[in-house]
Amino acid sequence: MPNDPSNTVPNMPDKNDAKALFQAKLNAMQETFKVGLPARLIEIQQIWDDVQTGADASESLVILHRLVHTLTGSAGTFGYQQLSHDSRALEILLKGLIGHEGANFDESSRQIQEMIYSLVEVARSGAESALSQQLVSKLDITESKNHILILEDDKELNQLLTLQLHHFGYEVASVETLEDLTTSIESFHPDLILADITFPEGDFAGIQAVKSVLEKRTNVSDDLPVVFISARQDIEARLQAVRAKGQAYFPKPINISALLNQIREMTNRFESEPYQVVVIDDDPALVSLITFILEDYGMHVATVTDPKLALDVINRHKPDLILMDVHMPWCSGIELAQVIRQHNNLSRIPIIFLSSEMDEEVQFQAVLKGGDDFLSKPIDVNKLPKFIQSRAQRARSLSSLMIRDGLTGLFNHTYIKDAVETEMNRSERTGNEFSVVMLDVDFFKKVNDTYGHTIGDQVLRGLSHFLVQHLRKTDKVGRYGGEEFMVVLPDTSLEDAVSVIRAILENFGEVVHHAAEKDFHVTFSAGVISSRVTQEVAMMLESVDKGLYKAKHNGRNQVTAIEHVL
Amino acid sequence: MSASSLTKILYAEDEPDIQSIAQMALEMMGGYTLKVCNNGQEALEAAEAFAPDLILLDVMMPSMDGPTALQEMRAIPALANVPVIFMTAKVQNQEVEGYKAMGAIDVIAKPFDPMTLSETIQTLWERAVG
Repeated sequence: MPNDPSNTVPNMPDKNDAKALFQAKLNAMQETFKVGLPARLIEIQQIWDDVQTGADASESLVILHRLVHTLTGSAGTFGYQQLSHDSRALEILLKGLIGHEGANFDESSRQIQEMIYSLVEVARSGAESALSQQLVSKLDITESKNHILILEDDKELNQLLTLQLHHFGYEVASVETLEDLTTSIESFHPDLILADITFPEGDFAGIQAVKSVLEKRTNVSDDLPVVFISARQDIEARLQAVRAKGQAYFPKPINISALLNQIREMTNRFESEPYQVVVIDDDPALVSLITFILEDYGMHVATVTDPKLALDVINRHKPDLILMDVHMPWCSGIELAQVIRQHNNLSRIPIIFLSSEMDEEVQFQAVLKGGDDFLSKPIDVNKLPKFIQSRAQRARSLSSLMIRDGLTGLFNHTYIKDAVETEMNRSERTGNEFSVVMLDVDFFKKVNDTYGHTIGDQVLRGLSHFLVQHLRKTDKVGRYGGEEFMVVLPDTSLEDAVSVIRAILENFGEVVHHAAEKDFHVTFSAGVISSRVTQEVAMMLESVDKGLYKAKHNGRNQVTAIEHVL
Repeated sequence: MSASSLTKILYAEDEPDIQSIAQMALEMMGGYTLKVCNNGQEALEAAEAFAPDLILLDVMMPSMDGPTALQEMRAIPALANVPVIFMTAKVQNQEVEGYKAMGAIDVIAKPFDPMTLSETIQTLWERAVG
């Protein structure tokens, strides 16, 4: 009834007639737009010429902005999504220039001219979708479970992978033969394919099957990532996988936690933290253009137009990547890169230079003095975000290799110890109490000796996962060594920390671990301390260790709070 | 169910193509009576005399944008309780929440589907007054 306006409004013409008539009018309007498009673009070019040569440059700029703004809206409405996107980028650049035609005008001129040329190109390729079936923008990105399709003829491995992925919250469909691949893709709509390479049909039959399926999907705009698994280690197999657009390759026996990390990274487009980029450029119009392009692609952007503020902004936002102009007043980008590199904790962040500089020597110097790459202006609004994203992604996975423990995926010893230090500094600033937990699996040696190291590793991974699941996102969990774990709980009192860890211990004790011989339970012991007890990191770590020892000594399977340093 | 029904819509949009498509969609498909304006200023001037059941405002317009027009209208007693919907090309959730905090009942993303626009608006209106 809400969808039937004829009930609420009298004298409605027949609904189907109205619809047909409306559709006909829409089609006519779309045709008019299409026919008029070349003339509109010529007009834009002419006004742009006026801006550059005419007497009333600023007035022409306002008219130009107006024309481009209208084009953005109309193009989007008539199904020219790409044209609308590129036109909006130009609109933003022009808006930034209005009233500030002076300083960077030469550089912006080339950018504007490039973008107008590109609009003409894009317009030529026509509308992407008809009006009535046009993709309507969605307000909410509904987070759905990620769907993973497993293609593996080894029944046992297939089951193991299915079970593990299912455990970690993925929706899984598994296929054992190549014939079933196409139909299950159609019915299951996977977000990722995990495929073996070798099948009875041939050494690379898996790759070929996936490749031909992907090629048939050319009409689908979003790409379907593929991870290959194989018993083959040789470069030929790996190369074939790359040619089939495989994004990762895992040799057998498969390191499950590495595979899980990879899958999490590849499917997490919406769940994982967006990439944070800091843009440093003295030209505000260009900064707003770049901000639009990157934000439109899903990244977070912080901007700096005054290089004096660069360090503050970088420290505040901890970016995955810095995009920086070479030529700035007060200090050059190359100098600023060197200043950034003086800070140890900032040395891992990739710095990409942006410049109209064609001089190879300058580019060479830029990369030599702390930069990682060089992009030339004018920028290509469609290539830039992809380039930045892939650079940021690489930087993030490299840094995760450096700070993560291989077995459990938790933070490693060095990182978690540093985290205590960082939290102490923060606590001194904010005055908030924080807690540190040291915990150790009870009788772990017995688990290893009785059931074997594979099962022992499973217990450690299980506990890791359990801790992460039951703690807050802001809490930091690390593997301190062997079967010993450390947890840092920001803004948490000693009492709260103790009760949280006791609850986790109680729940974890009920988890059933499986071994071939029998099922068994595992407990842990823990010491807890907070910044209220001591403000010295070394003392804190020593005391919390003593707390753990006391819990062990008093019979294990318990949590000891350290209320005074000894 | 509310006692009254949605009949009159005040609509402000500066882009001519979008304006005529939305106008056609709402008149032909929805059967509503429309007052169309080119910007927030015009909408504000026409609003009281037209006495709309619903106000539909583009966010970005020259000489008074949508949010400003909404604030001005809220100060006029006769218009204070008329539901307002924004239309905008920017659809970040955060922004949507901002517009709702200003008092809009919802936000429609551009480009919109002309075939279903009137149904969408009817649904949003009923949810707001019902």
